Amino acid sequence: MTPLYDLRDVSRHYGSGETLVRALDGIDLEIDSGEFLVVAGPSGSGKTTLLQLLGGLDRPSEGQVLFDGRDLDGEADTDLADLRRRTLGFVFQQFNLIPTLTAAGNVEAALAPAGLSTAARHGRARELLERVKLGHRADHLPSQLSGGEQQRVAIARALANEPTVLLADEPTGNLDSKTGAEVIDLLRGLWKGDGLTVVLVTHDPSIADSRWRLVRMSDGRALTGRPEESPAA
Amino acid sequence: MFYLSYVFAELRRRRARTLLTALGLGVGVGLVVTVSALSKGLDHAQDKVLAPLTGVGTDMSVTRPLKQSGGGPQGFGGQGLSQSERDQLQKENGPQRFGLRNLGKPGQHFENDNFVSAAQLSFPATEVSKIASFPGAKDAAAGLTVTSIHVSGTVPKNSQQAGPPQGGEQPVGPPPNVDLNSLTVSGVDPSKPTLAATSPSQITTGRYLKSGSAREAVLNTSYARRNGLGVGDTVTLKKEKFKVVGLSKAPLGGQASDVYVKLDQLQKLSGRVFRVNTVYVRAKSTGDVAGLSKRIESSFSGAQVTTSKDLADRVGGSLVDAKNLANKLGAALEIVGLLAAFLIACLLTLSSVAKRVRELGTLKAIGWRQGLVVRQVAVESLLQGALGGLFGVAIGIAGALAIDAVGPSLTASVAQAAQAAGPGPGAPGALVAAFGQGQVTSGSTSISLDAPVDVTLILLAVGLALIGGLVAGSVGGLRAARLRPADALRHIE
Repeated sequence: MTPLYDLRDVSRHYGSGETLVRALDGIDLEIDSGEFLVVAGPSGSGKTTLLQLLGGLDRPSEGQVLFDGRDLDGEADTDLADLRRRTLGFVFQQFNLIPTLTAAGNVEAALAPAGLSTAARHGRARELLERVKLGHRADHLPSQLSGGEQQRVAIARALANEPTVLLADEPTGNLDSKTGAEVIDLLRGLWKGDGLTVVLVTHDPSIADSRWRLVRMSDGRALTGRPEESPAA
Repeated sequence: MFYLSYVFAELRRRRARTLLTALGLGVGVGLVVTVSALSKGLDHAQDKVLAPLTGVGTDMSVTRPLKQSGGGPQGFGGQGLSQSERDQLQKENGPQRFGLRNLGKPGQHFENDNFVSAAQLSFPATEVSKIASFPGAKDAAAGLTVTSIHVSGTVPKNSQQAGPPQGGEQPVGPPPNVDLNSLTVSGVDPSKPTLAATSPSQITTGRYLKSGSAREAVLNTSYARRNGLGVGDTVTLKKEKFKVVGLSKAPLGGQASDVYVKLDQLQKLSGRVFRVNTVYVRAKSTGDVAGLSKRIESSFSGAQVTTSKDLADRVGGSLVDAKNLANKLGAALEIVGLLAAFLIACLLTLSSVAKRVRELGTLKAIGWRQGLVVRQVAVESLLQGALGGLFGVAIGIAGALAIDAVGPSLTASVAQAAQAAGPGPGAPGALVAAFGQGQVTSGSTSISLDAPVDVTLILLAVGLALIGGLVAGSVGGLRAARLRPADALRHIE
């Protein structure tokens, strides 16, 4: 079976000469459709850079990132934008909600480029917020929501266009352990229920489910790229 | 519409910055509105002063001033004139000198009337139609301006003493037992009232001359006032009585005669039948003036063309100074104001966008194309520009109202020196002022300055602000949208 993602000797460098930083250094990685992949590693190990390459937010310095057989480096910016809108969903550590928009407005921000009618957009946003149990907070601004609630709004936004892949960058990093566990549960439910491919970046491998594949990273290299046993969540 | 609600939400949230940016644009635009209104007010004031100089831009008058080959002003019998000019003048103005003894025996009362135009050589009246047929000429009319000299008194015992000055001789004043009165008289063609020494628009009391044989006269208001004359009175020229039908006020800088009568009557009275010394010409357009003027000057020996613009150019004073200042500084001030406003708007927008890099990166991460991000920022900035335009209009109108309230007074003046300078370059100065030519109206007039703001100005102001907003927004939006999403998301706010 062709993997959904196929990373071949992917490197990402910043700077040059003595100031050259190898954020990623020759990564080979395959991710299958429907897989839940946990990328773990300390700060600066290249986890986020890897996630950005998977999301078409950045381009590799060397190597290829193949998504569904498409070399993302060969895609135009507009095509990458369309790919992100239609296929990928992002969840960030800092939530990255637009502070001037309500919870519903933030979800609608992802729906707007799709050209839905106003009513359809409103309805879909409410539906998604209900799904993350925030229907009653739809008209609240991010500043009026707790960290956990904000992250759930971010997850609702990520699901807006029914993506096949969810890319989550330290989604529990700014949450207490209880709220973090709730967010992980939510992601698990989406993976199991919707068959999403989930790539979760974390510095804490203990959050990984035994059924998930764990990739450890250090100094821009993937130490393990195969399924391994991990402690039960 | 999601995008608009997002725009309004952003503008509301960054209220202080929005107002500051709009105010920056508003000050620049307001400056443009105020300066433009002021400039328009100056135009109005200048138009008011120059309006009586009908046909500024297209009208001209043709004369043949005397040419002096050297020395100062001389009588036409002096050494300064060519022989042909001397002959022509002598023919038109009679004997060079007349002795008082020729008027009668010593002690005998005498009255003598004479018409002189010593400063001007005349044309045959047929030349008028010739000029009218030149390319670029729309119409032409004949005019004759002469000085009527009335001498009366008693023949002195020693009649060798100086007689009345003639032909440009230096005035020496009459003997004590001789009265000398002179006035300038212009003959106008009533069928072409707008091409004449005075026009119907200059009539302040009564009416303009009517065609026909009735002996009618229009008096210059100053002459009428000096002599206590009004409509219904009569003036006498060479023992012929003319009924005063109107009073005319010459425009500042324009030519004025004391009395205006019908051309044919003056020609007959002054012994200049079919002769004219001024041809009034109207060009088809302003662009034709220069060519037509050259054509006339080359076709008629000694012809000199004076345009209405030449007359208008004689008007000086603080009005003209202010207008010149507005022309020179106004445009610079407007440009500097606008540039400053655009710069402020750009800097504030860029600064605002710089604080939203991660937000804009997030939009790209969730699938917004670069163009959509630029459009979003540009529309925000455009609305800021619209707000700036409203501020600008308010500031501009306030500035214009302040000028109206203060109502600064400006003067338009024509100096005496201009009068002596004659109708144009090369004219024989004092001769022109002395004989046979209407006088340049000197003095000054005061006019209150206003600053009218019209709809065009308001639209211009709003348009400028919108352009400013759009430029600032597009620059800021492009700058942010060009960042790779990964870099934008790394941005620390």
